[in-house]
Amino acid sequence: MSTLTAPPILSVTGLDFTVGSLNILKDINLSVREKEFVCIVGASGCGKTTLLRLIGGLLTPTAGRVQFRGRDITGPDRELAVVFQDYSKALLPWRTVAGNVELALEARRVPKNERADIIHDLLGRVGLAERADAYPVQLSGGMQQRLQIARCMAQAPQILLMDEPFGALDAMTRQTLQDEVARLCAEVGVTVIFITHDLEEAIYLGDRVISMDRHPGRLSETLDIELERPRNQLTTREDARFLAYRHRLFNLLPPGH
Amino acid sequence: MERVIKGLLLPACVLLVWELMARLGQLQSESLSYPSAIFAAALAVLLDGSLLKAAGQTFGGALWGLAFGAGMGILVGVAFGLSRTLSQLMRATVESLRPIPSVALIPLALLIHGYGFKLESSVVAFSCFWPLLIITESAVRGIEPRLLEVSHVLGFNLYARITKIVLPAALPRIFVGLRLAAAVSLVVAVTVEITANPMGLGYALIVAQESMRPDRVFAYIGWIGLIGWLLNASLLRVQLKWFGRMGNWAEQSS
Repeated sequence: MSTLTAPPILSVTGLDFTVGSLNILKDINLSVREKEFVCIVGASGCGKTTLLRLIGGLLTPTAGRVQFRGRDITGPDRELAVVFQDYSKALLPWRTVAGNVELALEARRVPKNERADIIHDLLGRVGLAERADAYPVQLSGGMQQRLQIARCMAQAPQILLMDEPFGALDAMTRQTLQDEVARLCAEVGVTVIFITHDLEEAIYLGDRVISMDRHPGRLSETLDIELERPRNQLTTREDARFLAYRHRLFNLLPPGH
Repeated sequence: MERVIKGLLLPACVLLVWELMARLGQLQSESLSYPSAIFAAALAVLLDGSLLKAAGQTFGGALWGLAFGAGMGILVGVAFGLSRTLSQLMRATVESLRPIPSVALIPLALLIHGYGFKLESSVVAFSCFWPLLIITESAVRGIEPRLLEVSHVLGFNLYARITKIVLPAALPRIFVGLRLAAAVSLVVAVTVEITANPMGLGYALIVAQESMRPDRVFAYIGWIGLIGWLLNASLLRVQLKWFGRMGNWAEQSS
């Protein structure tokens, strides 16, 4: 809004993705500012996960480009961490909680004697400090997702790509994690692209919400969310502006899609 | 305890009847001995050190062959598992070499190595290579793709990817393959000794047979069975200890 002059940290231009004769994504253009929290919301099957994988370099676009600070993204990159929806599959079952976080530090070649402090700090931030020696199977779903987020943070990324991270969690855990992620990302100062099918989650978390159409998938509308931070699960969700945003998005994405 | 006693009831009766029939002169045979003589022979070979020496030789040949064959099998299996192209290129070669019975290689190995330790371990290695190759390849191919993506995002090179993700993820299944191969290695080692190599438990069996000592033949058969059982039981313990508490990642594979 006011920082339009600053160069974007991430820009997507003319992105197409086709499999065989099926056009999955068409002409995606997106520009993300430093430390912005962008939510992309769309019905299932609209290609939002595909878009995130393209941004993260896990897929190669048919046409168009993804640029991180002006440099082309051609493959997976440590500056762009991906939080997968299926947290239980993304964790190493043979490593403890601390060991899973350490994996990212090993990738960054952090010296051994500095690792313990970083791990302790990160696990403290996601509320897992006391479970450092547990194995992933011994954790609840919410804790496993927290662990994956901690590992992604240990990667020290500039951008966090989150693919429906709370989709598989119950409503209570989901709300707690929403607040934790909002706080954590603000503290660390990381830019976030957050995919969800939940309108309210998108409005609650985002600085900006972009809706997505399908067949083929394309970005339709952008909504700047002007709600104060920190946000509150009760008061923010009851705010008249929140409801107005919800109304607007609801009409853009009719249910039963 | 009661179950153990019940389980031992039938064998004990058989041994008793066998012993009684032999003692009463009902058993007229050059090839059969009787329980008390077999136990005495088993004790004798244990006490005079010949069992230990023979078992050491057999174990040495079997373990070296197992280590080398299984190690190579794991290495090649990882390569095949990671690269479908490589696996397809090598398919015809693998499928034409694999059905060769390892025993059929004894004459060839004899020509190359002559009698001794190398003869035995090379044939064992051949027989242990294939099961490990196949089980490792399928284990690597079955690794959760998400884990490989994680290692890609973290920017690990091939070596780190294999040591940090691929091998640990495939290890429970590789270990099952190792247990199978360990049993095979002992069988093949004894077979090589019986057919060609003048050392180890297999050769001791042949010597006992040629000197018309059925009691010793039975005694050695008993010891070979016991050693095989011990080997498998100890590997099973290691497996439970290593992979016991890490949940379904290990359970799924065993």
